[in-house]
Order: sequence, then C-alpha cells, then structure tokens
Amino acid sequence: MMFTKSYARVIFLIALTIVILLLPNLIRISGTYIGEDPYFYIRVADTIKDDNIEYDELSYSGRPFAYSPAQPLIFSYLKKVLPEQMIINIIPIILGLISLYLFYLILKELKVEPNVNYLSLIILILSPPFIYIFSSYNTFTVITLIILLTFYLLIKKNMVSYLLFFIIPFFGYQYSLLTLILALVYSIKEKNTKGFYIILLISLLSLLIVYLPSLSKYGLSESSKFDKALKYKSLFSDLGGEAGISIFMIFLSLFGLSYLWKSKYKHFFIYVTLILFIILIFYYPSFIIYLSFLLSFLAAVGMIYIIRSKWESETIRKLTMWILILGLIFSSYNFVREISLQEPSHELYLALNFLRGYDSSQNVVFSHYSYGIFINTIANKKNFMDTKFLYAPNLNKRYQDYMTLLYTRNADLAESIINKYEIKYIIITKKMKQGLVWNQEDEGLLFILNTGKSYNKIYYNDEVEVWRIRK
Amino acid sequence: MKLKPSFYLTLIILFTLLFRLYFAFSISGFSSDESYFHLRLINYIQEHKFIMFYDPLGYQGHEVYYPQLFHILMAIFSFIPFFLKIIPALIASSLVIVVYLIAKKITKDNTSSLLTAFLAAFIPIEIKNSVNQISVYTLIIPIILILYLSLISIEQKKYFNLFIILSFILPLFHPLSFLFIFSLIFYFILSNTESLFISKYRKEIIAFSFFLILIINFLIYKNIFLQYGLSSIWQNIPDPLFSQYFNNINILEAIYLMGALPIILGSLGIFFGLFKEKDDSIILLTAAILATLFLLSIKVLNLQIGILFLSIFLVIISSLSILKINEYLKITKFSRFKNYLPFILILLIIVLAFIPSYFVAKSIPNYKSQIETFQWIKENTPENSTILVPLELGNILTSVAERKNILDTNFLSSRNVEERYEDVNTAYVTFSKIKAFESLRKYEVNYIFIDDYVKNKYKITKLLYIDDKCFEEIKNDVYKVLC
Repeated sequence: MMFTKSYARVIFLIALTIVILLLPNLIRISGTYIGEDPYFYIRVADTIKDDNIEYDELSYSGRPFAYSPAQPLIFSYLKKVLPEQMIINIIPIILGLISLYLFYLILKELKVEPNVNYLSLIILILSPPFIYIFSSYNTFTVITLIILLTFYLLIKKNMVSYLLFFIIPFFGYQYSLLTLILALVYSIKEKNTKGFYIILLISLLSLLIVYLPSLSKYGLSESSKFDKALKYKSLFSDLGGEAGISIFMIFLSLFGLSYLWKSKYKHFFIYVTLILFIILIFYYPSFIIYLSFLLSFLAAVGMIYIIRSKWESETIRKLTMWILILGLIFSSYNFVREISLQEPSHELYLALNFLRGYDSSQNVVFSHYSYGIFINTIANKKNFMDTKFLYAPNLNKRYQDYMTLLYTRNADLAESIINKYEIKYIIITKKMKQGLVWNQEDEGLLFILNTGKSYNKIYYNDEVEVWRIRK
Repeated sequence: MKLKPSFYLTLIILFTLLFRLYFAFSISGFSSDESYFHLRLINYIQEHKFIMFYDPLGYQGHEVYYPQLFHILMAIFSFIPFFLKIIPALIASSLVIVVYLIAKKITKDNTSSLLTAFLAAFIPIEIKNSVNQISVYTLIIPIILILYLSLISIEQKKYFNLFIILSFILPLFHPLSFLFIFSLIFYFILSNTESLFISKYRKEIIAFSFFLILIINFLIYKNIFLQYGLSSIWQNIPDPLFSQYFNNINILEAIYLMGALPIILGSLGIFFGLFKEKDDSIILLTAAILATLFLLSIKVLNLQIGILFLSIFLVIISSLSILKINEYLKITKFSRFKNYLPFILILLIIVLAFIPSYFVAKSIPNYKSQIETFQWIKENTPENSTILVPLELGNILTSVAERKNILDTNFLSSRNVEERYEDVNTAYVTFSKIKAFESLRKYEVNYIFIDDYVKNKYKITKLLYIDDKCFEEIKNDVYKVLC
C-alpha cells in the first residue's frame, strides 16, 4: 500500500484533520479551554467523583442534577485515566479521526463513488461544524462518533447497533429523536420496517429509563421563553453562528442536488432526509451540525459534477470551482479564528481565579448567563444563571429578574433582587458593556454600580470588573 | 455630408459634461455630506498611501468597513488640477456612452440609440445625486451597465473578458454589487416564466459572477457579517431614519425626479420587449428593475438610490419604445412626419428632462457657510474636541474641521447608532438643561454647532437651555460647553 494514491490520500486526510483541529487551540491566545463545555464537564465530573449526583449546588445557586448522564460519566471515567488537558484537547481529535473513518465507511457501504467519498471527507474536515465538534471536548464530541458508529453497524446489520440505540438517549433525548428519524428513513429504504420497530422499542425503553426518574421526580422541565430568537442566528457560520454551516457548502450542495435530480427519484431518500433535517433544525437548531455530514456529501457530488461536466467555457468552469473551494476555505479560516476567540478570555479567567482566592465560600455571583459555567468551575462560586436550561429552577421567573437587574436604574428594585437571590458578587465584562447586555456606559445596573454606595469594585482588568456587594 | 452618430454622441457627452462642470465650479465645496466622507478617504490614501481602516473622528472613533477602490482610483488622478470636480463629472458623463451602446444593442438603430443617450444625459435624479459630488454611484452605475452590456454580448471574446474583470472589480467599489446578483437571479426567474432559453454559456458565466461577487463581499464584510449576521444588510441604519428615508419622497416628486419620459417610454418598452417580442436584453433590464424594486421593498436600498437605478434602467428600455414609435409612424398616415419625430423627441427631452435637471442642479445644496465655520473650528479649537452637529453635517465636520462628531452617515460599523441619533436630536430640541447635559456629557461634547440649517431642520429658533453659566458663544453658530 506504501506510496500508492490511496495511501497518500489517507495520509493527507489524517494530516489535514489533525492540522485543522489543532489550529483553534494553537492560535488561541488566552491559553484557556475553548468554550464552556470543558469547564462544565470538569466540574460535573468532580461532582460525580464525590458521589453527589442528586444535586448540583453551584448551577442556578442550586438545582437538581438532571443533566444527561452519559457525557459527564464518560468525561469522569476518562479523567481517571488521562490528564485533563489531553481529554479536552487531544481526545476530540482522535475521536474526530475515528468519526471521519466511520463516515468514510458509511459512504462506502452506501456505494458512494470513491472520489465523491474522498471529497466528502475533505469538505467535512473543512466544515465549521466538524471543527467545532472535534477541536475541543464538548457536548457533541462523543455522541457524534456514537451516532456514526450506530449507523455504520446498522448498515452492516450488526446487532451491536441495537445496543447503541439503547445508549444514545443517555446523551440526550434529542439525539434519540434524530437517530430514530434517520433509522426510519433507512428502514423504509431497505424495506425493513420490522427492524425499525425493534429500534423504536429499544429507544423508548432507554428513554424511559433515563427520563422517567426525572419526570416522576420533577415533572416536565419548564421551557425557556426567552432564547427562541437567538437559536436561528446560529445556522450559518459565515453569519456568526457558533457551529453553523458554510454558505459556500450550501451552494456546492445545490450543485450536487441539481446533479442528483437528473436521475429524479433514484435518490428520493436523500431528498427526504434533507427535508427532515430542515424540519428538525427548526426545533433543534444545533442539528445543523449533523446536517453538515449530509451536505458535505452533496457538496462533494456538486464539486465532482463541476469538475466532470462539460462547460462551454473551460476558464469559467475552473474559475467557478476555485471560487467555491476558496469560499469553503474562507469559511473554515473564519470559523477557526472565531472559535479560537471563544470565552473564557485570559482576563475573565484571571478575574474568576481572583474571586476563587478572594472568598473561599460558595457565594452567589451575578453576571451574563453565558459566564455562568465559568463562574461555577473557575471561581468555584454559585451562579445566578447559566446556559443549562433543562430543569433549571424557576427558569422564566429567574430570567425575568435577571433582565430586571441588568436594566433597572432603580436602586431599591435592584437591591430587592440582590437580596432575594443572595447575590454577593457581580461580574461585568467589556463584552457586556459593548452590546452583549448594554450599549452605553451608564445603562441599568452599570449606573447603579457606579452611583450606589453598597457596591465596591474589588478587582478589574482590561476586560473584566468584579464588584462586591456590601451588606 | 451626413454626420456620423459618433459626432452626435460626442456632442451629447460634451453638452452633459459642460452642464455638470458649470454647476460643479459654481460652488466652491461639494454638494453632499457624503462627498466629504469620500474626500477624507481620498485624502487619507493620498497622505498615507494606504486605505483607511480606522476613523478616529467619525463616531468619536470607529472602524471603517468600506471598499476603497474608488478612492484609490480618485487618489491616482490627484495630479490633475480640480480632479475632484472634473473626474466625477467625466465619469458621470460616460453614462451616456454606455447607455448608447446598450440601446444600440437593443434597437440596432442609431437615431433611437442617440435619443436614448440624450435622455440619459439629463435624468433629474441622476443629476441630483452626482452634480458637484464625489459619489461612488457615478462609477458604479456605468460599471453595472457595462456588465449588462457584456452579458448581452457575452459570446464575443472582448465582452467575455470585460464581464470577468468587472465582476471582480464591482464588489471592490460598493456593496451595491448585490443589486447585480439579484438582477441575475430575477433574470433566471423571468426567463423561466417566459419560457425563454438561456444559453448554457450564459448560465455558466452568470453562476461564476454570482459566486465571485458573493465571496468578495464576504471577504470585505466578514467582520460585519459575523457581528450582525443577516441584519447587516440593513446597514445598521437607525429606525427613525429608516422610515424618514422612505417617507421623504412622494409619488409626484419621484415622477419628477425620474422624469416623465423614462416612465412612459420605459413602461412601453417593457410591454414590447417582455410580452410581445420576448427580447433577451429587455428581459435582463426588466430583471434589473425587479431586483431594484425587491431591494427597495425590503428596505435594503435607499429610496433615492432605488429611484436612480430604476430611472436609468427605464431610460435604456425607452430605446425600444422610441424605435417602435418610429416604425409605427412609418406605417400610418403620418409617415410623412417621420423625419420630425427625432426633433419632437428632442423637444420633449428638453422640456421633460433637461429643464427639470437644470432646476435640480440649480438647487443642489451649498455648504459654504458651514464649511467656513468648520474651518474656523479647525483653527480655534483643541484637536481632540467633540462637536455636536446633526447627522447630515457629520462628514463635513470630520473632513473640514478634523474634529470628532457623535454620528454621521456611516452607520455600518458603529455602535449605538439609534441612541446617538436620539441623543443628538435631544440635545438640539430639548428645553431641559438636565436632559441636554445628559446627552452632552455622555459624549463629552465640547462645542455645539447651531446655524440656520440646523434651526430649520429641528424647527427651533435657538437652543432653549443655553445660559451664560454653562455655555459661551465663541462664534456666531458655535457654543462652547463650559460645565
């Protein structure tokens, strides 16, 4: 195999994957882990280690431990055998490589032409969702690999896939929903609906095991009424989406679809899957991540179509293809740069670390809810709110108070909320002042902090201020 | 001796050029606030030999996300005396040639094409937006039209090359390149609905141009897109101003500015070209009209600029009507008058296009008094001062006085635009000293500018909160903030 074309391709793919996935961490200035997920798992893994898996004392100043159990357990297990940094920065790259191989195997099993398969892998590696999933340990890292493995084994008619369908709900009910829908499409395609019923039964059983205790204990989770509008902003990476897809990938996919459409209903199941994905994304925008796998295949078909089709002008054909390739690279470059700038910044880390040393007790810290998990893990303090909304206590009321406290200039009203939630510290960041919360220097809480006598600035750096509330 | 069409065309060009230069040189400065923004960028390039990324004066300091190829080109011509008066007039006059060429493609008739070119020379809205102004639109319009011309004749090598080059250049001038992209989309839709065949070659080149313009725009505006997402296409214009943009012109004024002739002849041309003859060029230009209307309807395009583009597209389509009228006249009892038709049309153009254009050009703003005051401010105030001026004078202030403003018309990369807009308005109209100081202190305003223009704009006779304790009138129209 040595020095053959396929060998070179494999080496190229591995090298490309490693380089692309390492880049966000390499160019990251702050030296902290990327995003909130690593910090969440670090803390939750410690909670599991302490056998306190009934109650989380820090999130929302205390809440039921109702997180999906699989990711924290895996992280906790890995933490026993591997250094933390390796789990967060290296293991995802390895899982990314395995996932890529599984995707290759799936396409191969589905009789996808080798060149299309190879291009699909390259486009997938360059896609922002893939970079997001596998450049740092996060919610999607392990489950993506498991979903791919499940489908590979399902295609191979291996019974282990049933076991995996059982495991998937432990990562979150939404993944179970996704895999069930995909399994249904596949079963209909293969005319094996009986197989689907088994999968459905297994998944339902597993869902009951995972969610029945929470449901019987806490009832249904209060759904957030406030982040609906935010969700749809994240669909396209070029427009600022955290793990959205590239617009140029969509264009290439359109070329791919137009090629597939030539054989009309032969590829009916691809269109159905695409439509189902689009519908699902309306409810779970984060599924855009999984759509990128399908789109990378379609984009590869599109690219091959452009390469092979006879154009009237050869120059235009080449130029168009290069523009689209450049577009893909441009999106990846932008995304790598953006992800490398994700919180926590070095300044935020320093401020939270200061707070950890300043006060050893776990007092309540108020800040923008996107900093909640950092407050828990780095400062070892209770947060007012964070991004884990499922089963958060009095979520909407709390959010209402959160908004009131941020925007009121009424000192008495602010004080009543501060007392109600026993807030001891307030963290203000430059981002909060520059659009994340406020737009002017003396808006809402900023005015109260600067004019009230009960507030004392105990720490500040270029990006972050820490205020203590005198009682 | 029969004179060549090129002679008449040269005559029209000279006529429009002289017309533009006459008005340009009759005023010492420029006739739009936006011109002064461009002037600053050109001066900056001349001085630093590089484009401006950060503007320390506008919005008291903000990033500049504006394609600056136009300004580089203008800076190159800086060796010509009065280049900022002459070059824009020359570019604007070139519109006549492009319109003539497209009209010739459509009609294959010299008389109709020349009459269309004459009509294009005096479009009131175009005159309003270009005479004595440094405006990127004067260059963008001919480029977009050449792109259409190239697309119509894309099978010829020279037009093919031109199309490729201009597709690359267009987005480097202005985000209005999106108008071209949308017109191509509408072209596809219209051709499909009219069951017209678009050659594979043309489809390919359209696809190429679409992606090229898109990627260049993404490269230029990547930070804006990442920051504001899709909403960036609305350019961050404050809401109250947005509605003002769209309410400022009434239907009659719009007709007056577009010119009655282009509207009538253009509509007829669409009827003939689209529904009767299914002419490919007319379909392309109708698609451009639809794209303009679409962008206007979603409020991406400023109404004035939208009308400007509509009128130009209608003028070009008018060529087909002129030809048809001429042909029709030949088969009627009035055929003996057919030789008079050009003269009748010339007369109509003079009455309905040239005369309105003349009055529009005569009424273009003159900022002489403001410029004098701003020059005085430059010489008599500390360099780091912030001056309160209304939105419409923001760029003139930064360019002439070289002092900071609170806001100007470059909304795209600026924070709190709406709030700044409201605060400036409050500082001028409030009678409450507390409210006024809330706004003035927020932006650390050192001087307030209030002249007749400002008084007229805000319908005030003076600043109601002014007193001797906190304000000092250091010059007629300028107050120093003491408290």
